[in-house]
Amino acid sequence: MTRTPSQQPEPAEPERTATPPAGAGEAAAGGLDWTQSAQALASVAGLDIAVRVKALEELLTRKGLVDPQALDAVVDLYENRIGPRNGARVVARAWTDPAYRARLLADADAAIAELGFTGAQGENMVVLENTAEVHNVIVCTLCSCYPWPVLGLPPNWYKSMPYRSRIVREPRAVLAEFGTVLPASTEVRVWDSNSELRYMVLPRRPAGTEGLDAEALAALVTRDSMIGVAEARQPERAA
Amino acid sequence: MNTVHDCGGMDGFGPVVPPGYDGSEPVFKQEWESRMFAVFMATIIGGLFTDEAFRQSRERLDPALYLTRPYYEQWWFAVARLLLESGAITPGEFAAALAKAGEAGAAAVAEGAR
Repeated sequence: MTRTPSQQPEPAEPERTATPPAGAGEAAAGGLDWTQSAQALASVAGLDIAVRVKALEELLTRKGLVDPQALDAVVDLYENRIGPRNGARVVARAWTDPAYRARLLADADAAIAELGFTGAQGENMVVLENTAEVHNVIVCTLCSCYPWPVLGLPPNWYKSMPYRSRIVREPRAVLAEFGTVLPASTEVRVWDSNSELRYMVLPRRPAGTEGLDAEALAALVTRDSMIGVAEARQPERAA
Repeated sequence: MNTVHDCGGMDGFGPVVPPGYDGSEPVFKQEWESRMFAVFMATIIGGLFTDEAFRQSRERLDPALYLTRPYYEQWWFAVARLLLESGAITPGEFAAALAKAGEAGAAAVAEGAR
């Protein structure tokens, strides 16, 4: 699901100084046991979730455990600054620079960090290169592991039970739902992410893009092509 | 944990692609989702629980809730539960905070925490 962020983005840093309450981190130090906590959750499950989120945020703020301004910064970071445009730059660089492509496939963490993309949920990355023979697609069957620094937060469908259950069972049928129909001769490999290992797909460079620079190429690289449910856009369809 | 989250290969969950999907969607569809994400980030970075505990808390969620509640609502359950279990927040505080959400909620929490 997630890892403890070891290289946390800047805006969230102040939260590191929050003082844990007495007993935090200790097993059941004066808190509810599993049965009691399950009952407490069940007792409020009927309340509107927006109201419950607000209540929890306000309680934690009153106790000095979170800072609302730091929360605003986190939201801004993931809504506006970390997203699939980062991954598209990685892909475009790999398409235009063979030495970078080699580094990316050999040591993804280091190559991605060269472009300045680091942080939570991006540790121990592996980049999977699509070819005419092999098409890669990623999933997290157990939950929602995903390479945040290059792709941002995952789309809803990626976290959904239909995707998680089916992509490992009938990948070609799921790819076809996305409009991606591969030749029978192409091998499909499905990679199940986990909290220790994150994948990103390096899609195939579209034909007819020889004259394009890295910026124009990046515009062809969609999020879905880096998950592997689609191919990169053809240039005539580029924005 | 051995429960419904371990769904790889299961049948019956239906289509993947949402109607009208064009390859994009907002990072957060509703404001509460973004606030829940931020509360999670702040509390885990603040050391109130570990990523392993959070994952387990998600997996310990009542299977019926896991299957029917939105993703970030599942996070609410997971985070609230860990805070209650560690003692970072007390049942009384929890009940009082949710009392603002409605009298029914407060009564139910007090009952559940007894």
